[in-house]
Amino acid sequence: MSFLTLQNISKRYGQVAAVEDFNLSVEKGEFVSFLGPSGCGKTTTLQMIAGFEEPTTGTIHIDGSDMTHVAPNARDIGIVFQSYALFPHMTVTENVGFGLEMRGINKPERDQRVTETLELVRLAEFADRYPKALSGGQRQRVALARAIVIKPQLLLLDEPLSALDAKIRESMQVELRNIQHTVGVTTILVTHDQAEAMAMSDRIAVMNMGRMAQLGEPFEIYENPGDSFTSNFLGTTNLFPGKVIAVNGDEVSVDCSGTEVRVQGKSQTGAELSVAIRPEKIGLVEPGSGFFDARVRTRIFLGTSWAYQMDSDLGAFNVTLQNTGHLVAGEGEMVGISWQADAVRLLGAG
Amino acid sequence: MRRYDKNGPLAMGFNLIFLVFILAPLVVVCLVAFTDKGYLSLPRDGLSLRWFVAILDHPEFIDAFWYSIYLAIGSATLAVMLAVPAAIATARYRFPGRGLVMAFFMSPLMVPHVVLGVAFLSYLSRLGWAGTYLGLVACHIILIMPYALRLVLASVTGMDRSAEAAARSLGATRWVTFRRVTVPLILPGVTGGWVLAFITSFDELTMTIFIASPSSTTLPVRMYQHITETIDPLIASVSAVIIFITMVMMIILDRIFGLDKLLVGK
Repeated sequence: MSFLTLQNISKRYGQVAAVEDFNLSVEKGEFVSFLGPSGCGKTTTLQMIAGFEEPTTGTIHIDGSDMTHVAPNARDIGIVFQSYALFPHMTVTENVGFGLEMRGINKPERDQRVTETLELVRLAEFADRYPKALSGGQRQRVALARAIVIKPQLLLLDEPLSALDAKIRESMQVELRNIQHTVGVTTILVTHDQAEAMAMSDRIAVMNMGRMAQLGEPFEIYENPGDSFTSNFLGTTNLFPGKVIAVNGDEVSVDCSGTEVRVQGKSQTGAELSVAIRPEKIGLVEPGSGFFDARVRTRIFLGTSWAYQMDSDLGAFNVTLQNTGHLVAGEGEMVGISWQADAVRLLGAG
Repeated sequence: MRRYDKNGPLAMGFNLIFLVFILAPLVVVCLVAFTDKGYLSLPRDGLSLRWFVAILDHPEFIDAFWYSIYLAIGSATLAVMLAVPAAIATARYRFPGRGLVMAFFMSPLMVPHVVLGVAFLSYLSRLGWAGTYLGLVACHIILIMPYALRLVLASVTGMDRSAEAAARSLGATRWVTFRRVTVPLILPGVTGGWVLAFITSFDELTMTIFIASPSSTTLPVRMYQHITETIDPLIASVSAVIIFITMVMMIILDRIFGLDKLLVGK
């Protein structure tokens, strides 16, 4: 049995279902993210694992024991809250030592473990400060130290980096991941930031409208999104709606607004679906030598890359090109559109 | 850089007039207390402490002062102890009759104190509590409850509840969480509520005059009885002492918590 198991979890508030039929198994030491837009049920699911909400149906097992109805203080779970939730009337040391004190650990051992953990999060010199005298990033690390010092069975991170500046957030992602590896604690991260989820997780559970849309390793679900929601929530995708006109073994011919596009995949003639391709997988070639031609509507320089918006018979779409140091097609120019055969996916209509 | 929160000359003038309007009577009372005459007058011919010394010759004022203090401490403390759970319940939970509970606790603000006084008098005499300390405490709790509740409620509403969730997840029981996290975080509001309740109780005359007995006379009641008999500067000197004590209390509280935080409920 897996370390953390959520079985058929549902949570309803009256008629409204916040979470529907959620199933997940997490292995010991694994880092799993719940990724989705606000209101998708990811935080509610976290609250149920933490014990602040009781599931309407279903069971939660941690390390083999049924935790579904156990009080939050008896679950042995460390949580880092979005607002950090530090105790403002206690110093950093007292904050971090609180969980150990609750476990009846004597002062010498407590002090030693607090010091060790503060060194791990590089805050040793701030031990006697109060939270209000710390920066956002430092508070975040205190919250993390407070959660891991108790050596919890499970670490829950509720949008832990969303209140930080972009620069600090990126360095904290790496730092959090490293600390998680060092401590080896099984971790669940809740986030709406796909870059954060991809950077930090072993696996991502994409959630939409209370249900799990897809579960898998970041690379796997980025490359093979199961539906247009996942495809658009993880990065961006160009979707060309069309109709299947022919199937030849593994190759499907799709009529997209009058242009025939060939895609690897399985379908049947007459099916309505979408051809999906990521902006960074499209290449620009001489007009007439690609699959079809398009006109550059806008071109934006982003330093490492160029962002194009294109107009074509298939509709508007985006292209991202690496900046190679050479100037590329300008606004108003006609270009040919090309891609590798395996870069295109077939997704259900929508 | 230009400061936008500065008042214009017109607003400053208005504030000044308002301040004078509030402070002038207090200043006059304090000045009268230093008169050397036997009647209420400003000390024009010379300052004298004779009316402060005179307080010592009236032990009934000193007894009434201490009685008022004990009454205010008792009723403010009990009112706050009731206000904390009431505030937590109404601020955090939606239950049938929630609005009714709030309206009930706030209702003493709307009922005239004279009416309350008459009602409590007949009620207490039926219970056999008329003129007792317990009876007065009970009536004062009802009267000062709105003041205590308002400030406690503000601090409970403004509190970050995730700190409680954090304490729970770290292994604290509900009670330990309440004691170690909730109470310290709402302490400014609780203290502010207590101070306001204390002042209101200490100051209350209209209702108390109905239910006080000779053995349970509060300072405002004693002062009122005194001026119905004689008008002399003794009242002014007693008032001056109260003003002085209040000021010292406010300065101490301001040093510890900050008055704006305490009485506005941040």
